[in-house]
Amino acid sequence: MVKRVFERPLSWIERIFFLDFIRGLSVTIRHAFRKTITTHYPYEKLTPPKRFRGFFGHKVVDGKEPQPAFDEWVERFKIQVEPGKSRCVVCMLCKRACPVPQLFEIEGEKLPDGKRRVSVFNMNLMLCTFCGFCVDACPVDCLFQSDIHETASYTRRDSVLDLQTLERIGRDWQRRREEEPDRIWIDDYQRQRLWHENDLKLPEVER
Amino acid sequence: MIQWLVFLLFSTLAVVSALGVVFLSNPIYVILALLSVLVSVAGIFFVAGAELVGALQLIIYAVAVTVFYVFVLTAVPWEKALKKDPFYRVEGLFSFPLLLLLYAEMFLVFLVGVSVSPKGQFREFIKQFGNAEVVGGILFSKYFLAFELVSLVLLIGMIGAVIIGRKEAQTYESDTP
Amino acid sequence: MEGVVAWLIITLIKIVVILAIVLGVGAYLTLVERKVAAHIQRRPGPMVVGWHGLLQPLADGLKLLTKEDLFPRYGNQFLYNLALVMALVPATLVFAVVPFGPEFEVFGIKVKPILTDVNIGLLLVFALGSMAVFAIALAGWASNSKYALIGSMRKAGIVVSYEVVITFAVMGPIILAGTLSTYDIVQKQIEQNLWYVWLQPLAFVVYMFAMLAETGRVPFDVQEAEAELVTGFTVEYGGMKFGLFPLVEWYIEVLSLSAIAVVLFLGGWSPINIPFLGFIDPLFFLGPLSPFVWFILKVSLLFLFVLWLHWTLPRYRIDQITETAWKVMLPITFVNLVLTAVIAPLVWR
Repeated sequence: MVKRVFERPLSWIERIFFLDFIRGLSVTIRHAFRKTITTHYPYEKLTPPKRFRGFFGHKVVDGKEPQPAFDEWVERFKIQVEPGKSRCVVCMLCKRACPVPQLFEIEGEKLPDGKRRVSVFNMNLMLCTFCGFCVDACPVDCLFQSDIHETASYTRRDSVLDLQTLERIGRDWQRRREEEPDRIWIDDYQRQRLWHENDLKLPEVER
Repeated sequence: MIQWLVFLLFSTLAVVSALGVVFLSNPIYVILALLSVLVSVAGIFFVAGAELVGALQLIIYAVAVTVFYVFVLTAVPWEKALKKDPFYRVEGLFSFPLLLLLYAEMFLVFLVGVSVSPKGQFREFIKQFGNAEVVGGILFSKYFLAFELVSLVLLIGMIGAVIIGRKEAQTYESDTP
Repeated sequence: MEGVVAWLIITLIKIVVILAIVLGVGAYLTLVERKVAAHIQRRPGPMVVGWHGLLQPLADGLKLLTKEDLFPRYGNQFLYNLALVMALVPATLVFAVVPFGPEFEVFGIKVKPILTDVNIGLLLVFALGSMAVFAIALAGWASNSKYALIGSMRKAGIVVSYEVVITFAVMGPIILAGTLSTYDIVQKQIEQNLWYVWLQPLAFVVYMFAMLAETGRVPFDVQEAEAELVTGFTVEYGGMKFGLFPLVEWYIEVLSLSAIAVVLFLGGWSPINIPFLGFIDPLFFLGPLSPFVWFILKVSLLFLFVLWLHWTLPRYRIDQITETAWKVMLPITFVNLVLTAVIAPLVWR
């Protein structure tokens, strides 16, 4: 195998007749008359892949928790498990993992029968870098990142996610995409059209 | 009539901006006033029907020469441009008689020149052949010797500049180990 | 007296028409540029405002006009605003000597579609073209910012070197035509049945490169250099004042210099020329309008070519640019000039 160190210098013919210019110009003119490959954003939107790091959410208790971890943590903290409510066990591991811990505001409450549950879970996304450490740290697969990425809002208050919002995002996510296999490229219609017209000949994604 | 009015406009502008060149303190304003003088003088040439001289005035003086002033002066920081330092006050006083002498000489040359200069003989030629051809014809017939001498002087100047540039490069190289 | 009044009215009409064409077309060329750039990068470009973004320049203009007018602290307000005027006026004045078509007759009055047919038109073009450097130097100095200053110094260096090159490049066609008037150069090409690009291909290539350099187009756009200089001398300008500089530099100047290139090398308003065959006019059915259409067609094709180069090539370094000017292009133009001056009187006339 020959290692190529740098480009061959241009020959005199190439210099005089601007052959390298012409080569470059021919590439751009060929591209100029092909179909465009972009999506017209506000009217057409791409579905992000499942592992996209967007807004956060809380998955709710629906019988698909990671076992035996979930039962162990529930046992240890005496958590009240309610179907349809957040899986959070108030372990604070997400806050420990976070590079900006101030953005989490987590509180648990004690119920009259001695059990506990999460009462406050605020995430101030003004401070968040969407690094996903908290998601990795979560032992019960509760905190996760959804595919919601249009996060602009009119007030700073709107960028603080509270428990109800997190649960709502989680429920929505579990309904829509929980069953989907994890892969980088999703094969929905838009994405397929995009890459098909791109002439890149990507291998078909295996189901 | 229109010609006279335009001439008046341009000459007033030239005089006012020339006063500005002398009396303004900010060097950038001085350069702008100089530019204004040169452009209005070019305007006077255009009014007088000497288009070639006007265009050369624009190209050589208003652009090529003044650009180098601008080059230097854009490197002047703004706070220095605001200072009003009366440099060279004594020297200015000393040079005043010399200045008067220079003006007297210019006046003399002007008077003598007016009496000798062609009085409208070239007007027919200009109408017939156009501006550039007449100037070229005069340069290469009546003033041929002066023209060639000036070109020789310019050539010598260019060679001198090249030699000076080369010498500096050599000393720089020999200094570096 | 009546002749003077008619002349005044005709000149006024010409001025208004030329100003309207230049400024209106200049604004719409922003859309053309964005569309060409987008399609070269396989995007559709502006699509939302109007059909395929046709109203986008109006929207942009409205946006720029209603923006806040910021002024840098410790800058020089007078020079800051003067720079705008000095940029716009010479660039539009160049169109005074651009012939748009042959002489025609309306209501018994002969009209030349050129504002002033002075017999040194080309010299004026280059004098006015290099006046732009003052505007840029002043803009850089008055806005009290190091990026603006560096950008303006670079531009001044480029213009000083390429003004020499461009002046020597056009000497070839001037010698062949034997005149400096733009209108007469086109007339000579039509009489001699030959575009000068066939006789002066070298000068044409050098002219095109010098034109790119003078107007700050890629590959010579070091003075704006978005990556290092954050668009150079326009950094401290805001709103419509910011919009005016690219409008002048990238559109009006490119347009005027392409028009001059068409006049000098591509036979102005004459139809397609093939050497030894003469002129072939596929647009003959347009009748008296055909010369104007040809002129506009040629200028717009040259403009599109400039855009095509802009969105293809990378950027040279400043030392490479000035070196190319003084060490490659100037000798080439000298050789071209000497050869033309020696051969043309022997063979040509």
